[in-house]
Amino acid sequence: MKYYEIRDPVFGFIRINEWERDIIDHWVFQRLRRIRQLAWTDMVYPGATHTRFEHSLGVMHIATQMFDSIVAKDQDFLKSELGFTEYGLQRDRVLVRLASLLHDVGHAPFSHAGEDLMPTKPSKSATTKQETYKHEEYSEAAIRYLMKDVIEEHPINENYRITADDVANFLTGKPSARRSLLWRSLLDGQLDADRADYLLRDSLHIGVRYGKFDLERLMVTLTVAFDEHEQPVLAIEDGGWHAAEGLIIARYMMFTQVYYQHTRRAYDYHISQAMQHILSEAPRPIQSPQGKFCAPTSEENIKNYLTWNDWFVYGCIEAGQGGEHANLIKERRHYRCIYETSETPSLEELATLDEITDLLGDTIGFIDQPPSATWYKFGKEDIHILPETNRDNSRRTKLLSSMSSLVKGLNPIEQKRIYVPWERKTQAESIVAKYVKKAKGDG
Amino acid sequence: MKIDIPWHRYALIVLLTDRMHASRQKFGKTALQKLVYLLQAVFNVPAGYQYSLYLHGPFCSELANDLDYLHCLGGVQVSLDSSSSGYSITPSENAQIIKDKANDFLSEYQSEIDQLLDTFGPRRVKELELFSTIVFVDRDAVNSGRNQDRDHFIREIQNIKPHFSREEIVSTIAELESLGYIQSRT
Repeated sequence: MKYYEIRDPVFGFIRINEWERDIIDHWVFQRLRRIRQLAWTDMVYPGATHTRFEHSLGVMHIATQMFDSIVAKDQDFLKSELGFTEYGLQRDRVLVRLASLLHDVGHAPFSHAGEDLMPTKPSKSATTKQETYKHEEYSEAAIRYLMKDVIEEHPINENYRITADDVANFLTGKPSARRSLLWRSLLDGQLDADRADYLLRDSLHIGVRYGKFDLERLMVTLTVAFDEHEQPVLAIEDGGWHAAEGLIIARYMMFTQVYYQHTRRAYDYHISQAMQHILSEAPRPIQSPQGKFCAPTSEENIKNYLTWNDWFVYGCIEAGQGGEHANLIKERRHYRCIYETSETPSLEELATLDEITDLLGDTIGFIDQPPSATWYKFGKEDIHILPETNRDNSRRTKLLSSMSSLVKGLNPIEQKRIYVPWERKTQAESIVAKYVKKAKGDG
Repeated sequence: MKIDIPWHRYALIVLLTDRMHASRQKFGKTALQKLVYLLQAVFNVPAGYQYSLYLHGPFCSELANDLDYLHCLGGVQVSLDSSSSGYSITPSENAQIIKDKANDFLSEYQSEIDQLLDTFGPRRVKELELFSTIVFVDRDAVNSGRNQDRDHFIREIQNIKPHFSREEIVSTIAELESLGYIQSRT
C-alpha cells in the first residue's frame, strides 16, 4: 500500500493512503477548498481565510490518534465488556477515518452562515413543527449518492467491505452502525476531534491564543468507561481532568471572542440574506423561488446544491447580484449592534429586551441569538472522568463538573443582540438611552 | 420584529420536573432526555428537539443546553446527586412564571404528557434507556422502509445495547408492542 504525506500547519504532516487520496481527489471533497471555515470572519480577523478542506484532513488525523490511543490502552476491556473483535476494531478504525474525513462535505457556502437557507422537512404529522435540514444531512446525501464508487470500489476496501451507506449511517447515528456507534463520540461529542481541530486551527490562522489546550495530554488519558447508568462512554482518566478543563475554557474563549463576536455575526446575517436574494433570482436550475437550497433528497438535488460554494457566491456578488446585503458586504457597511443582554440573560433582562424591541420597531435590522446548532452554542459542558480507584474494577465515571469548580461556575451563553443599519444607529441608540434612563427612574 | 424564545420547550421541562417531583420519582438529566424523546416519538408532541443515536441511546444536545439555561432562569434546580454521581432536577422559584409563558402549549398536550408520565414516569433510568433505544430503532426502520423480522430487530438492539440481556430486550419489545408504541414484528 502506498502512503502520502500532506503538509499541515497544525500537525506538521498528515499521512494518507492511496484509497484516501482518491477520496480526497473526488470533486465532492475538492469542493471544500472553496468553502471557508469561518465565513467572513476575516472582516474582523484578517487571517481567517482557511477552508473546510484542511479542517477535514485535521479531523481525520486527530480522530485516528484518539482511536489508536483508546484501543492501545483498553483493547481487553473493549473485547471482553463491549463485544468488539480484533477484525471489528481494525474495520472501525477505517470507518472512523473515512467518516471524519467526509463529515463536512455537505457544508453550505460560508459554512454555518448558509445553514439558514436549508429548507424545511416534510411534516410527519399535522401538529408537528417543521424541522429544517442540517448540513449533516447534506453530507449524508453527498456520500450516499455521489461517493459510492470511490468508497466501495478501491482494492484496499476488499479487506473491509465498507460501503458508502456504512459511512453515512455512522455519521448520522443510524442504528445499523451498531456498536461502532461508540466511536461517534469521537466526531460529535464533548471530546470530539471536530472541535479539537477547529479550536487549534482557527486560533492558529486568526492569530489568537484562546483556542489552545493540551491535546497531547487529553489524547493519552482518553479511555472508555461507564457512566452513572452503566452505559459505555468516552472518558478521561483522572490524570487528564485539568487538560479537560482547558478544553472547555478554550471553547468558552473562542465562542465569546471569535465565533459569537458581534461584527462577525453581522456578516453571517448579511451573507445569508445576500445568498437568499441570489437563490430567488438565479436562473434555473439554481433558482429557488422560496430562496432556499434544494432538499438533500435525490442525486439531482444534491448535485444542484453542491454547485454552490464560496467562489460561486463571490462571482454572483461581483456581477451585481445579492441585493442590498451584498453591497453592505462589499462596502464593509455592516449593521451595528446597539444593544445586548448579558451572556446569560435573566427573566428580567428578557422582558427588558422585549420592551426595547417594541420601542425600536422597524428601526431594527435583525435580532441575533446563538442559534440551535451546537457549533454556535456554548452550553454547560460536561466530561466523564474515570477515577484512578475505579480503573481496574467498576470503571464507573464521575462528572467533571462535580470535580471542577471552574466548570461548575460556567453558564450557557444565551446572549441576545439588536442590530440596526448604520444610518439608523444614532437614532436607535437615543431611543435605547431614553428607555434605560426612564427605567432607572431618572427621566 | 420579535425575539424567538422557545418558551414552550422551557415550560415543558419545568412541567415534567414538577410532575416527577410531585410523584416523588427520581428525575435526572438522562431521564429528562429519554422522557422528552418518548413524548415526541411516541405521543407526537412537537417540542422540536432533534435527537441522534449514541451507544448510550437517543440524545439531544439542544435539550441539554435548554436545561442548563433553565437552571439559570430559576425554572428548575439542577444539583449534584451524591448518591448516584449524576444530577437531579427539581422545581425552582420561577417555575410558575415559565409555565405561564406557554400555557397554550401545555394545555394542548396535557393528555399526551399525562399518558407519558403514567406509562414511563415510574420506570428506572436504565429501563428508559432501553425503551427509547427500541423506539428509535423502530422509527428508523419504518422511516427508511427497512423490513426487519423480529429476530433481526432484536439482534440490532443487542448490538447497540450489549449490556442488556436478550431476555430483557425481548420482554421490553413485547411490552412496547402490546402498548402499540412500536410496529409488531413476526
